[in-house]
Amino acid sequence: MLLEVNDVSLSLRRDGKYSKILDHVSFQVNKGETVGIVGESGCGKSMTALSLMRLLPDKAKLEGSVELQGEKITNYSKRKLEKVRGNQMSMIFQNPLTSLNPLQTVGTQIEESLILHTNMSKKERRVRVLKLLNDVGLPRVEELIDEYPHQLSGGMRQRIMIAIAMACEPQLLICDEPTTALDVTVQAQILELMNEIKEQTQMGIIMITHDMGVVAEVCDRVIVMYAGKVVEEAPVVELFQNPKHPYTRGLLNSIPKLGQRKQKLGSIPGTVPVPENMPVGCRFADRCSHVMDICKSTVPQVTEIKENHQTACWLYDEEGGNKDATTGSNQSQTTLHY
Amino acid sequence: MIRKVTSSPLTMVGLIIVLIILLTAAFAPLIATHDPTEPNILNKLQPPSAEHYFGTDEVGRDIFSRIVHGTRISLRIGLIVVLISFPIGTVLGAIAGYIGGRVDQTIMRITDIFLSFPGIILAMSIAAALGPSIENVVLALAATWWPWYTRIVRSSVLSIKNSEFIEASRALGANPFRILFKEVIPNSIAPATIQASLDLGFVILSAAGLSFIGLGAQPPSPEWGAMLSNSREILRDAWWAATFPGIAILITVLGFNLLGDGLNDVLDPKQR
Repeated sequence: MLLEVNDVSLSLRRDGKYSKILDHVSFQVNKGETVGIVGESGCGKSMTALSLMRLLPDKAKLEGSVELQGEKITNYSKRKLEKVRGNQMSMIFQNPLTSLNPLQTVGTQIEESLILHTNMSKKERRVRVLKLLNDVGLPRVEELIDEYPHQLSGGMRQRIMIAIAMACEPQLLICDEPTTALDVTVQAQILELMNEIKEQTQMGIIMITHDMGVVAEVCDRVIVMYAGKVVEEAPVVELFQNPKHPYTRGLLNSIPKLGQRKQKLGSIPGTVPVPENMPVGCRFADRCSHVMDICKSTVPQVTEIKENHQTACWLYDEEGGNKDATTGSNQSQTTLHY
Repeated sequence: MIRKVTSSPLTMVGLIIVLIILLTAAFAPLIATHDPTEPNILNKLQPPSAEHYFGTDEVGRDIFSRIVHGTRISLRIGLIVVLISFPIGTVLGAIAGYIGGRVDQTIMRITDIFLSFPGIILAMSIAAALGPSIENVVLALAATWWPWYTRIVRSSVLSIKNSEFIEASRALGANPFRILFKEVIPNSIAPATIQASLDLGFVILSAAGLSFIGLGAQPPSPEWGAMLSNSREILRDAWWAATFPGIAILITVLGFNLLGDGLNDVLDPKQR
C-alpha cells in the first residue's frame, strides 16, 4: 500500500465560520496504480489533493490521517513536510500556462526540486534535467533547457510540468486536471506519456478530473466524489459497466455518445449544495431521481456491492432493503428500516 | 522592446539626456575646463564667454566646470538613495504582502506613519537633526523614500501571490523564504523598478532643495542646489550664476522622468 487516506475531513474558515469542505474521505492508492477522482466542480476533488500535500490556506482545519508508505505524514511538521513535497509526492497543476514561473528558464525550474531535495552537483543536475526533458518526449533538449515558458506551447509546458514533478522520482504523483487546458490531441499524448511513466517507475498516480474520457484512458480504479464525500468507488471497467450510485450514473449519462444525436443529453438537475447549507441526509438527495424518505434524513453508509466496488447509497443498503435501483423509492421498506 | 523605446520620441529624448548626464559624470575631469573649487577673485562674476562658457561665480570659479562636477554629486546622491531605499522597501513590501496578517498590518502602519508627512519636510527634519552634510542628505532622503516602494511592491505581490506557479513551488517543497526571494519578489518588482527610475530625478531635485536651504552639501562643493543658494544674493548682477545650475537640475529631472515614463509604457503589459 502506497497511500492510505483515512477519514480525512477538511474545514475552511469563511466569514469567521468553519464550513466543512471534505467529510470523512477515505481511499487507498497502490504502487503502480492510477486512481481517478471524479466529480463536478466544487465537489472537493482539488481540495482532496491539496489536503494530501497539505497545501491549504492558513485557517484550514484538517482531521483524519494520511499515510504515505506507512509514514503518517499528517503528523509531520511544516519543515518535515517540505522534504516530502516534490520528493516523495509531487503535484501537477491544471493550467500549465500559469504554473510555470515566467521569469525563469525551463532548466532552472526543473532543477529547482533537485536543488531542494538532492545533493547533486551543478553538472549532475544539468545531466539529470536533460534526461528528464528527454523522458517527457521533448525535442532539442539542449536548446530547450535555456528557454523561457512563454516560448513554448501548452502541451510542451505541461510536459515541462511533468518533468518538474518527476525530477526526484516521487512515489506518488497527484495530477489536478492535467489535461483540461490542453486540446484533445495533446491531451491524448500527455495521457499516454503519463501511462508510460507509470509503467516505468511503478509510482502511484492520483488523477483528478471531471472528464470521464480521461478516466477511461488512464485510471485503474475510480473514486466518485460528491459534495465533499466519496459516493462510489470501483475498478474502472466495473464503474463504466455497472455504475451504482445515481450520481455516477448521472455523470456517465452526461457523456455525449455517437449516433444518439436526437436523444437529449443527460444532465443532472440542480447544483452541488454549498458547504454552509448541507442537507442532513444524503447530500445528493435533492437532485436524485430515486430519492426516498430516508435519504433526506439519514446519511447513507458505505455498502459493498461486490469486491472492490462500494457505494454510499440507500438503494443498496442491505437493511434499506431496496435492491432494485430502477424502480426508485419504496417507502414502506425504507421507513421500516428507519 | 527596443523598437518600442525608439518608436516613442519622448522616451528617446529622455534616454539621450540620461546618457549625456551619465557620460558627463563619468568624464567630468576631462570635460571641465577649470578646477571646480579653485577660487579666482580677479575673475569673479564674469558673464558667459569663450573662456568661461557659463561665466564665473562670486569668487571667480568657473560655473561650467562646477556644473559638470556637480553631475557626479547629484547622480551619486540619487543612485545611493534609490539603492538604499529600493531594496529595503521591496523586501518589506514583499514580506507584508506575502505573509499578510499581523506582519502586514505592522509594516503597512509604519509606512503610513512615514507617508503621513510630506516627504521633503520629513527629510528636512532628519537632515537638520543629523547635521548638514551630503551623507546625511542621503540618509534623510532614503528614510523618506522607502515607504513608496513598500506600497507598490506589496500591491503587486498581492496580485500574484495566489498564482499557480507559487502554489507549484510550494508543492515542490520550497520553503517560504525561498519562495519569497525566488518567485514572489522577481515577479512583482517591475512596477517598483519603473518608480525607481522616475524617482532618481525627484531624489536629485529634493537633494538640491535640501542643499539650497543649507542642509546638504556645503561650500565649496559644486552641488547644484548649493550653487543656486549661493547665487541668490548676486542674482541681480549675475543672472548666469543661478540660471545654469537651475537649468542643469531641470534637464536632469526631466530626463529621468521622460525615461521613467517611457519604461513604464514599455514594461506595462496592459499598454502594449
